[in-house]
Amino acid sequence: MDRREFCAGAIGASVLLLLGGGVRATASGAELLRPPGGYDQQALLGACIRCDRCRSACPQGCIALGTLEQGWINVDTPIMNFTRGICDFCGSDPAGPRCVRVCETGALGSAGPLDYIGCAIVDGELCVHCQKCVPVCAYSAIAWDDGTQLPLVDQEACNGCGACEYACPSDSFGYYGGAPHRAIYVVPEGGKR
Amino acid sequence: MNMKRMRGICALVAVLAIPILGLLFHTGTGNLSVFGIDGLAVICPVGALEAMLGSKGIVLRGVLCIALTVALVLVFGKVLCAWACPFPWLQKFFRRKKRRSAVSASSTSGCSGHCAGCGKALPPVGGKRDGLRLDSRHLVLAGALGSSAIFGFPVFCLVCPIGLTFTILIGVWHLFAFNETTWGLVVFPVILLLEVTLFRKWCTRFCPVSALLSLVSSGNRLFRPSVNPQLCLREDGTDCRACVNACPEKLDPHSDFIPECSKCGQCASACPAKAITFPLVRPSAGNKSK
Repeated sequence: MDRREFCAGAIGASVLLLLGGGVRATASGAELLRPPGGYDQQALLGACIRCDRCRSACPQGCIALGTLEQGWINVDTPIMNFTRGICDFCGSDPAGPRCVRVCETGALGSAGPLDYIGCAIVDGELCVHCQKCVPVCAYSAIAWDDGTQLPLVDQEACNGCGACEYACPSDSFGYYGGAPHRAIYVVPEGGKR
Repeated sequence: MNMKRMRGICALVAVLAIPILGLLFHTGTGNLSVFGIDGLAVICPVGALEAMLGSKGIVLRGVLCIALTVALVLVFGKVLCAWACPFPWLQKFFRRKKRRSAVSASSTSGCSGHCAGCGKALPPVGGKRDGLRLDSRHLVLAGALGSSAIFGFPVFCLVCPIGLTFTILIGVWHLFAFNETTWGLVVFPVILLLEVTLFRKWCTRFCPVSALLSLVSSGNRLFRPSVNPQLCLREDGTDCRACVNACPEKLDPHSDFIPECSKCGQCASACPAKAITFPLVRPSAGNKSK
């Protein structure tokens, strides 16, 4: 290796070190809603090579990919989008969730439990009181509170499958940037399980 | 059908057809980063190593995928570079050739330079990049792996031109399918375009994927270019350098050990005597060099 080669390589290597440091330093650290088995953000980011296989494999189409707006570090990493579909954890398939099965680096699977995504919360301001979220919950985690006229989420029973968010009619045209979320929506619940 | 057209079709299938089928039908087959059916998959070896260092953990499935990838490289050599990677095609598209014309003019005209009827075989020219090499690409590879280990995520994947190609493809798809607008659709094409246009020698100077593949492909013994000594013009004293000049990796197909060979077949199509083939096993009688 002559001097020119060495310099080219050294510059390339330092650019990658600076890039890694810069992207890590500017990452917001916001908790995003990850697919099953990807609950731990750091573990997921450490192993995810942004190959797009989990999104492609999801039979429900509820996995989206991170965009630049969510930070460069999250670009092309899987993020749940329950306005596109719900997660049934591939329950009819004995081999488990397909997204976990196709993840070869362990970004999904070894970064959290396979049956938990997050927990639904209610935004009373946006609720249209239609009660559509109550019957769709397969885990009987939503009750209707007649006093407040709002859904009441049982945080122990909810695993964040997104059925209620998908059914919620408020802000259904959310793609056009109306409200930031629907009246009932799933958030990653800071290490609840 | 010539090899160049075959390469083009292969790259088109790998880069466009398979990912678009995945987008349409949720096949989960993936793209060049990871490609396979369910657990059986080949994985980008650089990405896999970065993921192991980034997560500080080794997943058995990842190791199996790497083993499968290594096995494929041992059988087929560094074919990814010429047969699937979108980068050389992008570069060809965005950088019209300027410098090749002068060289190719001299390549076959050299064949008329007979040595006054002596008919003696000339020694092989030798390529600039013959043999096992450790160069700037390997430093970039070390930087990529080190950065991933320090900052805890696969760093090179963010700017990998192969990965960016798929990011853009999927981004455009989402733009039409979900009306999903993102600045990434502007930023990532610009980064890719800068890599394609500013780094003329990306493949031989910077690409860490090529660096890793060439290390593995030093164990490759199959499908190597083989020069038929009965046909090669150098055997009867013509100073022909067509194959060496045509080689994008700057190799000499006469040499015994060229792990950088990506089996692109450009030497074979440039050879005026049609002396170069890519047989499964290279006949040992053809080894005249060294």
